[in-house]
Amino acid sequence: MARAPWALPVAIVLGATLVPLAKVGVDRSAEPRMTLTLTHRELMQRWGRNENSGEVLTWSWGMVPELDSLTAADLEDLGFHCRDQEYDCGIRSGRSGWIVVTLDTVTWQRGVDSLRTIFDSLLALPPDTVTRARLRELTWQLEQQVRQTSRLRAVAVGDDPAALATRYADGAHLVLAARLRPYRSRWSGDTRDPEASLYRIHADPTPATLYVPNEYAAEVRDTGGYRDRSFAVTVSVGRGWLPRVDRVEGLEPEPRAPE
Amino acid sequence: MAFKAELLQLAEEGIVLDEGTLDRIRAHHGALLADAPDERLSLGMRLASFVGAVALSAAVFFLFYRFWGALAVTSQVAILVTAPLLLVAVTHALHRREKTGYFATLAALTAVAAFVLELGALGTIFNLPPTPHAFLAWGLFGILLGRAYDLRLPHFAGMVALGLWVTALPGELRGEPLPDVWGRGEALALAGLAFLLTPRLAGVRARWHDDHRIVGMVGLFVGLFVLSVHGRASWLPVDHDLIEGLYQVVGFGAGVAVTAWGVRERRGHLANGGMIFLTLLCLFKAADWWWEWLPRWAFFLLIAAFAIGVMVALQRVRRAVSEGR
Repeated sequence: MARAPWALPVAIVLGATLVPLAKVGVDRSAEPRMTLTLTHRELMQRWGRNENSGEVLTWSWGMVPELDSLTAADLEDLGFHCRDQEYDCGIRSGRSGWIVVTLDTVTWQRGVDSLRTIFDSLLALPPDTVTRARLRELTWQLEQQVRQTSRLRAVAVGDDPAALATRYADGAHLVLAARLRPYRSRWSGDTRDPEASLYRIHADPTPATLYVPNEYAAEVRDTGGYRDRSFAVTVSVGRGWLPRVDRVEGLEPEPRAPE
Repeated sequence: MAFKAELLQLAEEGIVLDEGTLDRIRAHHGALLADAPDERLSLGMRLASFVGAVALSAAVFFLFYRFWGALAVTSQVAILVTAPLLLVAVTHALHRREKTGYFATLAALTAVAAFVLELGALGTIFNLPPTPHAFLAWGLFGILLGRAYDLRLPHFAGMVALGLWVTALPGELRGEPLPDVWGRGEALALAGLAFLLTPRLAGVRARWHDDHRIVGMVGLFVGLFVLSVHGRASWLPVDHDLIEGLYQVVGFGAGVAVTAWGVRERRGHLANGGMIFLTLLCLFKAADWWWEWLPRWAFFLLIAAFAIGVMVALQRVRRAVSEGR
């Protein structure tokens, strides 16, 4: 047996640990590239954490994170070579890329206003059984919309995070690593241009969760839908494009919908 | 036990040794047995050591996740990095104290688990994108720890992790994310073939040949089986039915070749593995071809006939392996 048989295994542990820690060091060695403040609607506490004391948040989408009406040429720019006879551009599992996300408060507010308008118009009607039942249903829908419905949406995908960050450098967007999966949404014969198939591209951020450091964990604990507690999360993307939770603040509960 | 049976057989055949010779043989036998551990006890110890290692690894996982939420990031990182190093030290100490290696195996496997936990948890804490390269680190750690202390289980675990890394490489180069990098059957089959042939092509110590061959054989067979039933998992840009048919033929060929290799070189694990794979492939094809149009009783009768055929074939394979033909 060698004099120090432990040396190589120990070297592997230290070397393999150094790689992620160096990545994190580089990532945090400068000011964040982008910062966005989201809420419990967009980053939800992960459920089913049996005996796990750590807190992680998962992305919750207002709209499915997809871009549609893309042509084969659009996808070619992203490195996908799509042929008409293939549903998934020959890459069923997708590939690594980048997604730009933002908060679409306008669409969210439109949903709130629309429900409130219906609610107000019902209030003007005689309070019969049908109206009261409908009002109860609308109250619940309004609460869902105000408290739970996410405003998060994907606005762009790409294979160069720096180019995306330059294009969306307005303080209202984040660039995240993602898994991109293209698929054909229409056959060529279905479109106005008979030669062109149209595609969609679905993007899932990787990793799928964000870790909440323990100094902020109390703010998000037990907020997974059972309680009225709300919070705002500031998420940053560092120099190495790693996302991180910078701050979590408890918010005052949203006002309840009128009874 | 076998030696005593030999003596009895000699007596039955009328070959009688004089009392002095018998005494010397008994004394020699007694000395041998005193030095060698009892085989059943040894098997029990191996099993207990394996179960203990798995349970201890699970305990380490759950213990960390039970309390990590209360710790600051620096404490989390310190604990995660220290745990595998500490367990390597424990493995070293146990290996020096006890030469059979059961307790050292337990500590070494727990060290592997702590290292898996370390890289996994660091990924979660710092929101790192998942990468298959962690399997390279886990694989090398298990293999080096196993070879350093002559421990089979951590070495085997390391071989499995290294095999998963090799399988993931082509997908990783194509920019495929986890876990889809393992979705291509050819990558698994080729990685399996490489592991299977490593002992022949590279200078690996004979002690570790079986681990290479077992991991390689399982990888090769699983890869071929996946391709033979799911043509979409192939890299080949041709019709999926054609791919499935092609890999069924390749699968049968590989099964026969591995079985023949096992018989020729008297390696039971290869011969049995090959036969089991051929059996599974045949059963799957039988269900595929006949389940729909045969009455149930006839289908199961056919399977029973097939099973009897396999038993006869396995008997012959076993005989051939023991005779070295």
